[in-house]
Amino acid sequence: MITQLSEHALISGLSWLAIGIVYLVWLTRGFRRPTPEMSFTQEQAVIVAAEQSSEAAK
Amino acid sequence: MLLTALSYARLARIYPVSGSAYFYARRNLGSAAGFLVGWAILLDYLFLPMVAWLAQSILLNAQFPAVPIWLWMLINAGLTTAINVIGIALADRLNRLLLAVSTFLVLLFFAYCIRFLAGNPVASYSAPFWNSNSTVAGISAAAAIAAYSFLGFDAVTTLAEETKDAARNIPRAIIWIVSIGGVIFFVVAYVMQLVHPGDIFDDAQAASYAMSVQVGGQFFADWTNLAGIIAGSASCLAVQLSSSRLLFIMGRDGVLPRRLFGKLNGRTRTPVFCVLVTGGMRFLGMDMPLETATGFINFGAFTAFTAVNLCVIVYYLRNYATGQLSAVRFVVMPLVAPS
Repeated sequence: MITQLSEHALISGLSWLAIGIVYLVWLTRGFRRPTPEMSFTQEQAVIVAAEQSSEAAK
Repeated sequence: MLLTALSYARLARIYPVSGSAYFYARRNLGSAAGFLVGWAILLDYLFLPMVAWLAQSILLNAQFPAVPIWLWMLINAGLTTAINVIGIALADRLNRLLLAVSTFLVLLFFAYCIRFLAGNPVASYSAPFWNSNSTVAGISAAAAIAAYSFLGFDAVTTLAEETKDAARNIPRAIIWIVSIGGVIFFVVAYVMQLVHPGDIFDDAQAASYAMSVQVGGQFFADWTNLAGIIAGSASCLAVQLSSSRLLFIMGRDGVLPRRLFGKLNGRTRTPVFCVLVTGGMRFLGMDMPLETATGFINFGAFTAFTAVNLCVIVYYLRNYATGQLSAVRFVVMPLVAPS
C-alpha cells in the first residue's frame, strides 16, 4: 500500500525519515552513545528500565 | 489491513506486554531501526490533530460559509488546545460525552438512509462494488485513503497490562475491532452509495452534508451537521491529547530536548509546551486539501505496519530451529499484508 501514497506524501515522509536518521546520528554522537529509548506508554518505560537493569546485572 | 492486524495479534500473543509498532521493532529489529519506526510514528501524531481540525473546519464551513476554513481552524484548534492545557479530567469527561453523541448520530443517519431507500427505487445493488467507471488504480488509491479509518486499532495493545489473560484476549480484541469496524464502515458506505451512486458531488469534501439534505431534508441536515461537528470535537480533543502526551514522554526520555518537552506545568499538571506545539500544527494545515493531510498520516502508518510485518518474519527466522512456528502464518501473510 505504500506505493499507493501520493508523491507529495511519499517525498515529505521520506524527508522526515532522512531528518530522523541525521537526528539519530547526532543524538548518539555517531552511534557511540546508546540510542535513547522511546516509551510510547508508561508501562513500556517500566519494561525498558527493567530490561536495562537486568542487562547491567549480567 | 486485516492481515496487518493479524500480524499485530501474533506479536501481542508472543509479548503479552503493553506495546506498539515501535516496541515490537526495537525488540526484533534493533534499537536504531526501532528509533526510526518511532520517528515515523511521531509524524503521524504530529499530523493527526491537524487532520481532525481540518475535517472539522471543512464541515463547519459547509454549514456556515460566511466563516472561511482557516478561521474555523483557528477557533477549533484554539478551543481544544485550551481544554487540553486546563487538564486531562475535563478533556476525558467531554470526550466520553461527545463520543456517545456521535455514535447516536451515525445510527440516526443510517435510519434516514434506509427510510429514503424504502421510498425510492434503487438503480443497481451491485453498482457500488463494480461499475463501468471503476478502475483498479482508482480502487487502490481509495483503499490507501480508506485505511485511515482503521488507524488506531493498535492502541488496544497498550492496554495489555490491565487485561485479564492478555495473551489470549488482546489478539482477539484486535481482530474483533478490525472486523466490527470494517463491517460498520462497509454497511454505511454501501447504503450511502445506494442512496447516491457514484462520486459526483457539488463539494466532495462535504458530501455527507449534501446526503443528509437528500435523505432527511434541510432541517434534519442542519441540526445533525451541527451536532455532528460538536461531537467531532471529541476526536480533535482526544488526538491532541495523545499527541501531546507522546511528545511529553519523548521529552522525558531525552529523545526530544528535555527542558522544553519533558516538563509538566506546576499548576495544571499538563505538558503545556507539548500541547502548544501540537496546537501550532494548525498553521501548517490552513490551506491544505484533506487528501494531502491524510497522505502524511498514511506514510507514518504504513511505515509502522510494514515494520510490524517485518518483525513477525524476523521472529520466525530467529525461532526457526524450534520448528513450532507456521511458515504461512509467520512469513507468507506478513509479506502479503502491505501490498
